[in-house]
Amino acid sequence: MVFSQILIILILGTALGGTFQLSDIDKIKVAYLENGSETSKSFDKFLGGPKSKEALAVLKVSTYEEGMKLINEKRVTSFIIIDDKIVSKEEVDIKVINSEKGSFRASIVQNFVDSFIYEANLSKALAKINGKNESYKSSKNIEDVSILTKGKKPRAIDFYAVTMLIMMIMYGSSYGSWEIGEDIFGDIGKRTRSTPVKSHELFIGKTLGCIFTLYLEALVIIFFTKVVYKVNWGPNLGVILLITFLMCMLTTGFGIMLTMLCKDHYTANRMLSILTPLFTFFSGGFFTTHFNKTLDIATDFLPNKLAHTAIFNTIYPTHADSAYKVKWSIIVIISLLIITFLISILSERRMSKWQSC
Amino acid sequence: MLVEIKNLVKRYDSNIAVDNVSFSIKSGEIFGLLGPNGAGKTSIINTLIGLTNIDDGEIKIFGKNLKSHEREIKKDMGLVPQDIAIFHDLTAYENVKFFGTLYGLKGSELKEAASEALNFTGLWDKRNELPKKFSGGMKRRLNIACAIVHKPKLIILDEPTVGIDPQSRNHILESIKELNKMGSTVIYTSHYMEEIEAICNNIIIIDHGKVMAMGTKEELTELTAYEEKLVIGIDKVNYNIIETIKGITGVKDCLLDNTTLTVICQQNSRNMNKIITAVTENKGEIVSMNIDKPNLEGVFLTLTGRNLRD
Repeated sequence: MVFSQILIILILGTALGGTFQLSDIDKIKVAYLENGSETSKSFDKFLGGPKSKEALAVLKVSTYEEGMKLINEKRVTSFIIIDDKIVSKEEVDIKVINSEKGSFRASIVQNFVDSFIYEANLSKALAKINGKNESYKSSKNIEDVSILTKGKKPRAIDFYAVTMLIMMIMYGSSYGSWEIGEDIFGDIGKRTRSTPVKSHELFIGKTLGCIFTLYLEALVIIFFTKVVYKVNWGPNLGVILLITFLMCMLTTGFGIMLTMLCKDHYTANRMLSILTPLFTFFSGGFFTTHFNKTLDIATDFLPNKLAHTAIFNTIYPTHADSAYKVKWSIIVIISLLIITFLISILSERRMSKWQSC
Repeated sequence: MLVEIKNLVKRYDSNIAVDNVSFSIKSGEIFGLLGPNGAGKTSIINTLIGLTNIDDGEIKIFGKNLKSHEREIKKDMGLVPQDIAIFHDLTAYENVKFFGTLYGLKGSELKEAASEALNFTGLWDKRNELPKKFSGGMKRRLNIACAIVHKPKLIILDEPTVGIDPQSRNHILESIKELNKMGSTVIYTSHYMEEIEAICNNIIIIDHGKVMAMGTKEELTELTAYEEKLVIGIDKVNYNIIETIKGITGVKDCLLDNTTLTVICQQNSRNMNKIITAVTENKGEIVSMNIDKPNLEGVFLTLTGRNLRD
C-alpha cells in the first residue's frame, strides 16, 4: 500500500502539475461596500497602496444588494463589506463574500483583508496603550504577507502527497477492522481467546499494533516524499506528525467500529473499500470539489477533510484563521476517535463472550 | 475427576444447543464426544474453554470452577479448533512460537517448546516455510502443534481430521495416542465413528444437545447387542423370499435392496440354516454372506434413528 501511494503521488503530482501552477493573473475584481467609518477610511488607504492596486480592481457599490448581485452573476470574485452593524467595537471586522469558495483568486482577496485586519487590530491595540488614535499605515510586512504566493500554495505534488497520505491512512482502517474482526468472529480469534490472555489485553494489543503499523507506513510516505520528491511539509513537521498519528488512531477505531456494527469483518472491509475513495473524493482529495452549502458543511466532518484542513493550514498558514482551523480540526479528530473507540470498546465488551455456535 | 460438567445448558436465542448435559472425564483418558453435525459438540467445547457463557449448570476443570478460575485453568488447556487457526503469513516456527508466548513461554524455554511441538507433529523440517505452501494434512498438524506447545494437561481436539488424506489422519490419531501416553488427557470430538472407536476409552453420544448414551465402546455396543444383522448377497431375486424369511422364528425384519438381502434377527436366535434354506428354496443363489457385529454406528442409529453423517 505504501509503495502504491508513493507511486500515485508521483503520477498525479507530475501529470497534474500544470493545473496547480500559478499563471500571470489579471487584476482580481472586487466589489466594496463601505460606510465612511474610520475603518473604511483606513481600508481605503490600504486599497490605495501600490500592491493592492496592482492585484485588485475595486468596484465600489452603494448597497449590499448591488454587491450581492455582482457576486451572484460572478462579475466579481469577492465582495468586501465594512458596515457598522458588523464591525465590532473592540476589533475590526470585515466581511468577505466570495463567488467561488476556495478559489485561488478568492484566497488572494482574503489574504489582503486578513493582512489589513492584522495591522488594524495592532494599530487599535497600540492606540489603547499609547492613547493615540492610530490608523492604518502601510508596512513591508503587510505587503509580504498578502502578495507572496511561493510556499503559500501547494504544488500538485505537495497537494497529492497530503491527500494520498490521508487516503492511505483511511485504507488503513481495514487493519483495525480485519485484526479485531478475526479476534471476535474469525478462526484464529477462537484459538487466541482460549488462551489465558484476557480479551481486553488482546484488544488493546491488536489495536496498538494496527495504529503503529499504519503510522509507520505514514512516516515512510512523509519522509520519502520529503526527501525524494522534495514535497513541502512545512516548518511545523511535529504538528503534521501529530495530526498523522491522530488520523491513524481515528481510522483504526473507525475500522473496528464498523466491524462491530456489521458484526462481520468481511462486510466491514467491503464497506471500507467503498467508503475510502468516496470520502477522498468528497473531501477534495483528488481535485477540489464544491457542492451546496449543506453538503459542504457535512463534508467538513469527513475524516479526510478534517485531516486535509489541519495539515494544509499547518503547512500554508496564509489565513488569519489558519491556526484556529488546525486546532478545530484536531479537536474534532480527537472527538471522533474517542467516539469510535467508545463504541468499539462497548461492543467488544458485549461480545467478549463469543456467541456463535 | 479432571473435568466435571453438571446440568449444562446453553441456548442461542430460542434454540437449545446444550440441553442439561452432565458428564465427567478422568485424568489420563481419551474421551470421545460423538455426534452428527449440529449435535452440540462444538457448543460444549466452547463452554469448556470459556468462549461462551453458559445459561445454567456448572463446569469444573482440574477441580476448579471454570467461571472463577478461568485464566488459571486455561494455562493448562490446549485447543485444536475445528477450523485451521494459524497465521498464513508467519512460518510454521513463528506460528508455534506466537501461540507459545500467549501461554507465557519465553526465551530458550519457548524455543525449546516450539521445536518439540514441531518435531512431535513431524513439521520440524518445514519450520521455516509458510503454511500457505502446506498440504491440508500439514496445516492440520501445525494446528495441533500450536495447541500443544505449552504441554497442556488437557487437550481438546474439535474434529481435527476433517478433510485430510488417510495418511495424515493416521498420523494425527497416532499423535493423539502418543500425547495421551505422555500424560495429557484428551477430549476428542468427531463425527467419524471409526476414529472414536479407534482411540477413545470413554465415549459420550450427543444428539440435539442431549446425551444419548455414555460409556466405554463395549458398554455402548452392548446397548444394541440384542440384535444381529445378516447381510446376504443374492442372485436371481424372488420377492416371495421376503415374506418367507419374515416367517422364520427369531427374524425381526427383512429388507431387500436390489441384490442385497438384510435380515435382522434377535441375538442367538440360531436360525441361519433356516434363512439359507429359505433363500435357496426360493431359487435364490447366495453369492456372499456377512454377519454385522454391533458397532457405534449401529448404536447411534438405534439411539437416534439417523446415521452419524446425516
